[in-house]
Amino acid sequence: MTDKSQNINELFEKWILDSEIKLNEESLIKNLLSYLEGQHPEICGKCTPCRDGVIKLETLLKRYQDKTATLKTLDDIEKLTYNLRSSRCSVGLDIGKNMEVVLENHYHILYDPVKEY
Amino acid sequence: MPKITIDNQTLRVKKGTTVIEACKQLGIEIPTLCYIKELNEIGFCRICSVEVEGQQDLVTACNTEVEKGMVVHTDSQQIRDSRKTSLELLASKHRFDCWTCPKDGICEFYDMLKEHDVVFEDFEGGEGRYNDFIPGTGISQDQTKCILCKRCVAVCNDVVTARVLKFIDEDGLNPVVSPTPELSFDETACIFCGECVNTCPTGALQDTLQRNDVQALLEDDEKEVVLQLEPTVYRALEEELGCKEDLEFSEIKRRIHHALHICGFEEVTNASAFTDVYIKKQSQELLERLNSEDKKMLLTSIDPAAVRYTELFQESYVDAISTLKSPHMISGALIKQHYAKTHLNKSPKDIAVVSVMPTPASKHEIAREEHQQKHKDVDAVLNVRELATIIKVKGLALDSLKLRDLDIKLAELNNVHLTFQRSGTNLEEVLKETASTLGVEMPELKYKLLVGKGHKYSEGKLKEAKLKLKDHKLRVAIAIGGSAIKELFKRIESGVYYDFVEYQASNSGCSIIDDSAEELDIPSHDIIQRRMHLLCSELEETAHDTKYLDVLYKEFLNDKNESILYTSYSPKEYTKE
Ligand code: SF4
Ligand code: SF4
Ligand code: SF4
Ligand code: FES
Repeated sequence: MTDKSQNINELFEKWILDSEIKLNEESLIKNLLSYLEGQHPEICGKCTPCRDGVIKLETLLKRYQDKTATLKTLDDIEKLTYNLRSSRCSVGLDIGKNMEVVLENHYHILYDPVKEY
Repeated sequence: MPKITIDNQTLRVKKGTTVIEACKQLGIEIPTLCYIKELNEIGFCRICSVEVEGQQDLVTACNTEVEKGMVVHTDSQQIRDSRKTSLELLASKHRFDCWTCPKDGICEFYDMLKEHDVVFEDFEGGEGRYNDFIPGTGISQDQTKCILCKRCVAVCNDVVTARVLKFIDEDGLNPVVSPTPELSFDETACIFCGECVNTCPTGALQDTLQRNDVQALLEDDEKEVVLQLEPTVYRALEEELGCKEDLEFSEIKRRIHHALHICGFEEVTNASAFTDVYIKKQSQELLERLNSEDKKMLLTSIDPAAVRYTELFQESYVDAISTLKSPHMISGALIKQHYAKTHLNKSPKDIAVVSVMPTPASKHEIAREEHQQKHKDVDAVLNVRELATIIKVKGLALDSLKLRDLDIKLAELNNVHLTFQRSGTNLEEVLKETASTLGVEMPELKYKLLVGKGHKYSEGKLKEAKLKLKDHKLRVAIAIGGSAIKELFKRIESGVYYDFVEYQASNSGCSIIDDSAEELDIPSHDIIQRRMHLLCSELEETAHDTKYLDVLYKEFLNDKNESILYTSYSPKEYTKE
């Protein structure tokens, strides 16, 4: 693991996984994106769910930033997250697990902006 | 024998069995994309994921061994969603222009998207991961279609042993499967065997198409176009074209001739029409070598892929290759240099010869520099699909063709049904001919199988036999498939001397050894497999009238003209990295 991704992992644990911390949409998405981007150097490119799934997750999260996210965006985020369980190694599996916790702890943050769509 | 439960059914399987194989025993087919049994159990695509009780992560059926007490679910909603999601991800990096794609209708990826109900909005497809097109004279690669399954890499490395294709993952987010970047296939060690094309589940790897060149020839009023094909091609064509009626072979043949004639192929001949010439001349070559002081092994020159293998990897045996051209090139040369004048009343420059061949190596073969003489023996090589498309584009349906008498001048070169595979191997035919020249009986060949006892696609076959023809004691061998050819040369290097060897690089097409594709588990689309079988199938033999050959030998094939049957070989270079 590179130093950079190590730091991001710590940050991720502190800010994202902890359900006590109150995050707003903007900072959640920002932190998630920087976590996912920080994982890029670890991705080996062999398996589909991680290699292509992580990038796709980023694309979908960016839709929250452009205010184009819909309920389907969230639905797809959930599917891609679940699919990371079929990753080939711990890189994808860990990203998946972290994303699952985020979805559990901060679901409302992602749901609120899209619920009327 | 561990006991396991799959979808509520319990069974015992051998230790070491993979989940996918265990499922097969219950009749459960797990979908796969990257998997080739024993050759590519790498778990890349993750389409075969299943749930195992007690495990949070999904498990890939293709490369996970069963464990005692395992409880597997192969078909939950979550599994279906996961497969669909992975397929959507692959599809999002794929360019869909199926109608122009060489794998249209025989595409595993397409079939799988269909089965899993993948919806276009969900994956926003359109762009390929890469847009490069890697050219080659025999095969090419369209990278907009690669789904990174690595099957081709496994086949090229472990079955063919040419090691041309690589999985390059320096950039983990955007790996690429290709030959060494910046090289065309001709600059690599590709032997154009086509095995990777057959195994690719998409249209990424493809035979290099020459249909447009042929269309141009057909439209050229100055040219008379002669098409040569093996009789088995008719059955394969019938399948491609779809014929409602169940027609006799002779009727199919007649209709296809008509269709081809309408398309502009003035003459259609049997590509095996001059097999006899090949056999006779090769027998002469064999006798010369047997009689010479410094004995020299003779390798057949029938398969251009095997020839290229030797030129690339076995420099010191290049002079062992028979200097005879391959049979369809011989036939092309004879048509242009002899029959053009005697039967068609044309000069060679006004004739174009097009061959329909089973391997892309023949497409490469006609581009070899050795064949760039004034009048090329063969102007273009099509595969069966390309020929079928030419007929389809004309809107010709075999069922409703209006038949009329055709003005055919080379009919005698068509009513020949003799093919190599079904009359014994070429090697056996040459030995028979040699025996008859020596005035002795041909002994029965008792082969010893050296490689291939397990009937595995990956290992190919290698067998040898010893025989005596008058004063000559011979040791002969037949090798099929890259790894068997490699083994053959290893044996030769270690001191085994063979007088005569027949070899073929592709082991998924028609085998020159007893068992054909049917018995091997070939990793390609079902329809590709079926068509390969058709190309190797037996045909009802019709009388084999050889009068035309007597005339040919008498009137044309004398010492002066014989040179058109021969070519030369030389070590070929390739870029390693
Ligand atoms: S590879 Fe398959 S899905 Fe892709 S364009 Fe070709 S036929 Fe269509
Ligand atoms: S045609 Fe044969 S040698 Fe060439 S890349 Fe494909 S498998 Fe390898
Ligand atoms: S070229 Fe074909 S076989 Fe090779 S990795 Fe790509 S999709 Fe798979
Ligand atoms: S088929 Fe099992 S991972 Fe691809």
